[in-house]
Amino acid sequence: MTPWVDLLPEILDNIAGKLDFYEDVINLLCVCKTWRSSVTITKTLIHHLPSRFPMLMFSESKTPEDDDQHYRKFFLLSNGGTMRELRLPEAHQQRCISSHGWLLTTGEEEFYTKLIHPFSRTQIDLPQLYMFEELYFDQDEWMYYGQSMRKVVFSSSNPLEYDPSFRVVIIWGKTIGFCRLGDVSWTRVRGWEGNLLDITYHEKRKRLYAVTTMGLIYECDIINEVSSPLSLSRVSIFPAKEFGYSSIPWAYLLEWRYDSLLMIIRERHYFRKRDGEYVCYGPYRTNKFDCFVFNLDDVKWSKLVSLGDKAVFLGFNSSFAVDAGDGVKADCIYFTDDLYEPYRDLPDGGGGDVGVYSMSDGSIEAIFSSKESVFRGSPPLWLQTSSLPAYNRI
Amino acid sequence: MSTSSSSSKKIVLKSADNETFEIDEIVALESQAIKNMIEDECADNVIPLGNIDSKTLSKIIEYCKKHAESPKKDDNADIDEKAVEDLKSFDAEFAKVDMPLIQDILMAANFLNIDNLIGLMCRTIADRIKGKTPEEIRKILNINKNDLLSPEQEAKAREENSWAFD
Repeated sequence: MTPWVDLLPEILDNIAGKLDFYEDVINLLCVCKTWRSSVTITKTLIHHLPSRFPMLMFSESKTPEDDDQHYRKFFLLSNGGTMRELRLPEAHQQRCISSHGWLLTTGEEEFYTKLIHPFSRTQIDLPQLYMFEELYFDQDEWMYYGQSMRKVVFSSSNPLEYDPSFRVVIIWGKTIGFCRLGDVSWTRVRGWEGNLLDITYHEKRKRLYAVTTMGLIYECDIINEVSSPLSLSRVSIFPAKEFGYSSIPWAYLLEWRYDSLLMIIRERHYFRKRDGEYVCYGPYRTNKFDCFVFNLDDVKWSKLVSLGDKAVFLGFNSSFAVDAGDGVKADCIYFTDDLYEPYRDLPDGGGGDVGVYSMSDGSIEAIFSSKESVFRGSPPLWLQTSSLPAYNRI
Repeated sequence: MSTSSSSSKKIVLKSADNETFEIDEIVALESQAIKNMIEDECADNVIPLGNIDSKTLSKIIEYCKKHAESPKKDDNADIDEKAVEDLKSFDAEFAKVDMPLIQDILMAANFLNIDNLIGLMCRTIADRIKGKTPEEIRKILNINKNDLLSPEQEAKAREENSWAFD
């Protein structure tokens, strides 16, 4: 029998070409020296491959050489925290948020928005932001709004499937808007009390959900309702006192099994200023998360002490959960920094409040040295593994 | 001679361990290599396959028979979906064999130039190694350890390939 190491290069390439994830091809390359040198197609193929687990996209590098090339660094949770680099000029000096592995970008002083897939670099234009009807701001407010694209969620995972019910929903400043691909304007969604904290789309229920301060939960059918603007309707209020909360400092919402939502409360500890300087990292540090399940059928709330074999990812991404596995720890919350106002006056910006929170013991582990990736424009950001848009595999 | 007799023309394949297999020519034509030999008329009635053992050869014949019997895509644009599904489940069952046999089939399929079978075996190997570390892949494929990358070389491989190419 021929030893495996002597496999013909074209057969190795054939095998490599049938692997769906970046890490898998890298691991194949690392099996032995012969394979490492004989696999040839991987270099052209490899940068199109998604990572098996969520990646953390770093802020734009501040060194001028990197600036010319417009590379972005991505931190992989699997394979022992390997870094990956992708050329992504489309995201240069753009503010980025993410959903389902896509970036939504907005320019600093312009009002266009785009979806960009970081591997295939496919771009989809979305309606310009001034196409929100009845929206008027003076110059200062525009500047503020330019930086305040906070959240994007999709009604299903792949925009390239040309599904007529596909919607993109955003929180922009204090506004919720949604559009279909090809729309010329955003449709506004109104009708909530308090400040918006998060939105999520429950794919099984086919409803958009929103959470605001005071723990108010709202829903809306953005696919079949035709009135414009649409109105949210209230479904529940989180019984904060019952669970020992006097108010909700910050919260996230995500689809949790077929009949529930998961609401996660984030608590930050704010440092006191010392000699006009903050001690480290910036003005605050996350110290705790609490999870609550809201059952959509019986409208009841319950505290969730464990995420089981899931891990949750929070930040400027649409909140999501994945099954734990190689490099992704079960029962943990992976979080990034998603406040921008406290950093507005700091020279280097911020974004250092990043880590992994263990639900079982309440400990917080660093993912990388946070100072490496502070931001002026776009902070570190989770990217979910995306179902791959169509492109020609070799 | 009638046309039916030409379609049932027989070819005999002889394995490395001298076992002979009589098969319909149409089955043998699944192999591009045998097809070329027949077309070039450099094949006797018995084709010796000195590097393929009988166990492997009988598996390959099983595969070619099934695929030769199934309607081809280019024969008929709208071939019924059941046939496609049927072939798919045959392939899935066919691939449920141990790794040494997969390798033997792959080598033989490569020698005989049977494209679909090469693809199926590569797919099977890919499915078995995905999500696995290099060490686990070595175990699955029983790769000996005298050709390993040093930790530094492995780190370099990971680093180098993290760069994008335009």
